[in-house]
Amino acid sequence: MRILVIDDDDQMRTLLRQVMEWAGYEVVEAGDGREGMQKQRKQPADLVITDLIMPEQEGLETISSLKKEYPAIKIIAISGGGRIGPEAYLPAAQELGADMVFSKPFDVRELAEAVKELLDHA
Amino acid sequence: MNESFLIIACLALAAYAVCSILYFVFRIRPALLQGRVAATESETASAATTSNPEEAASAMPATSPVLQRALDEWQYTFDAIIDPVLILDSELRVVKGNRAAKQLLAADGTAIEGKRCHQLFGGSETICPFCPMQTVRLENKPLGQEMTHRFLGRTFSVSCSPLFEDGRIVGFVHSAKDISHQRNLEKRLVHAHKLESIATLAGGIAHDFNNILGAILGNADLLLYRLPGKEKEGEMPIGPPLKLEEITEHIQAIRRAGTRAKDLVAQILAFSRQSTHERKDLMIAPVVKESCRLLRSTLPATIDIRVAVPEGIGKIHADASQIQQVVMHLCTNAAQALPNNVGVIEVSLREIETGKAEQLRYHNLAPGRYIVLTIKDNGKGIAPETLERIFDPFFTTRDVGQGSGMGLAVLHGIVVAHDGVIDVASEPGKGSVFTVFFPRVPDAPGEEDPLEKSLPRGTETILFVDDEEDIVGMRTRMLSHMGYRVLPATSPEQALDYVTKGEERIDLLITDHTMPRMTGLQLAAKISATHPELPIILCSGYSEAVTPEEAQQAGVRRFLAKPVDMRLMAIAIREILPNREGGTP
Repeated sequence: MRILVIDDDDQMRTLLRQVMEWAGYEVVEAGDGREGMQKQRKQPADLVITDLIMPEQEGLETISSLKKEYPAIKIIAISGGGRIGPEAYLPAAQELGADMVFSKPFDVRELAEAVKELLDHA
Repeated sequence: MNESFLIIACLALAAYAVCSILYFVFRIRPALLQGRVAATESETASAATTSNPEEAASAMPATSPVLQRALDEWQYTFDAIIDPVLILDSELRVVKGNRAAKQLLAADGTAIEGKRCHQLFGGSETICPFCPMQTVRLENKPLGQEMTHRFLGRTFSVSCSPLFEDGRIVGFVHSAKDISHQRNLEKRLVHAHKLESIATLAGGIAHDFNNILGAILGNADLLLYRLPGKEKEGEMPIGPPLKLEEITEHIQAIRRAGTRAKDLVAQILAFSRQSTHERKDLMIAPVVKESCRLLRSTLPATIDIRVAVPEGIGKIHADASQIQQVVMHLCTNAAQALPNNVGVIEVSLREIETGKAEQLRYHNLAPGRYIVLTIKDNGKGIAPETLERIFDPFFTTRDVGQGSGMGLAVLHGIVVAHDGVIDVASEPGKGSVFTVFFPRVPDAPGEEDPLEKSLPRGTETILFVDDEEDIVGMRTRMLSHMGYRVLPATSPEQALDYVTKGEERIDLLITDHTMPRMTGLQLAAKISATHPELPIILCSGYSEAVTPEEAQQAGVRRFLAKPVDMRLMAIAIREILPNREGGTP
């Protein structure tokens, strides 16, 4: 199973990759939504973990594009919030089609288990 | 709103007070004196010099009803003035005070007459420091100034006018408007604005902190979950246990995140530390760069912040935290003008020499050398009717809860307090440019001017044309200083003469655009038709709307926006004349 991890924060992206590799998945990384979409078109992933506030193409727009092009794809949105906190962004991500949402900082085990659960039911 | 009415009412009453006093001094008092002379020819000369109308009246054996009415009217008017007004003799003794003065200065009920001004206001037997009366005595003209009297715990806007008799000063009219409340309000406004900026900043920094915390906790958790034997009872292992190199990797990641948090804390402290607003000669460039770094954490990553701060920008006399406040606030405003948080904010600094054109354009900006901070966005712009009121206190276009809207008024206050000028230009749908001019502090003797030292130089001949003689003079001096030979022209016709006569070798033409009879663009077109090899630089204001196509068609090689930065001009000249003899880096 392949996971696409999209986050503009290098440290966070590395952590997400390590967590997903620990859980036994193949991981593809992207620094923003636009790069994420390009990589998805080249190497389609089964699940995408995406940050919400990013340069170039932000997370909400990415979720919307992913759901249009890949209706069956599973999506987890994570956010540290911007000027008004993560709680303002995450419900919007769910409305656009994110299957689960996590606020940063999050428990890595919970994230790994959430990924497993989503992919098991895919 | 109530504050504004109060201030306007106070000003009106103050004006009324001054008129009344002047009316007394020039009309009633001479009439009283004349009446008395007529009534008692034997009156002594000393009594005639009194400044007290009551004494003057009582000295008269019989006051006429007309004079008595005038005297009463004067007394009512004097007492109606809400600011304390004193009539002092030449030794600063109180001859008379109005009701407000007695309420303020005779709280214990003792008479104020005969006491000296400094005893009442300063609680001191010696004259107050910066006493305006001393200056009035020397200059023989009225003076207004702000004075804080700790004895009374109040700040006053004091006006002091001399009273003359036979050409010499025999006393003073001293009026003191209590502005303590206004000053306190201003201080609170600045403080509240700072708190608002901190709140905005905190919201943005929280985003960075959540990423940092995510990295620290995530790596720590991975270590805990994956260390052999650390799996909690009942929990299935998710993946394989850690290898030694992975342990090192996670610890290093935690350390990196910790360092990042430390830097962020230092930035927050730098911003929020209490400042006494002490001004000193300050290198503005690092302050602007630091503010932009802070903003990067605050504003959404979808906003592109471009910073252009050239080397060699000089010093201004300023308070660093207030300059930071100006940059942060203008950028935050710019960000709010960007639809969906997407767009570009350009922050730049440059040094310029201003002349008459800038004086007219920028609210009486005194000609001189300035450091200019520009913050430009490509957001929704500002409507003309809003633009007019943008620096008014509490004027806002934001929704309730998005800020008080006092920010730009506070910024305006800060800039003016730094002897600077703030200006805004905007076009709805295209964006806005805020331009702030700060006077540049001259370099101390012996201090090298890094700007001049690093300017590229040359020895070619430049024909410089502008219809403003001041600009021509200033640019001629500047270009000559860089080693060039300059042919100055104050009209397009004079410039054409130079070129058509062909008596002088000309390597470059630099022309202003807006000139009478012939624009710079027309001049460029004429010259490039006959001398296509002569490179041309056109200097023009943003508003003069010369399109790149028009400029190119007229043979213009380079366009420089006014007010022209000396360094940019020096660089543009060398870029255009790169291979000619005489150019030195």
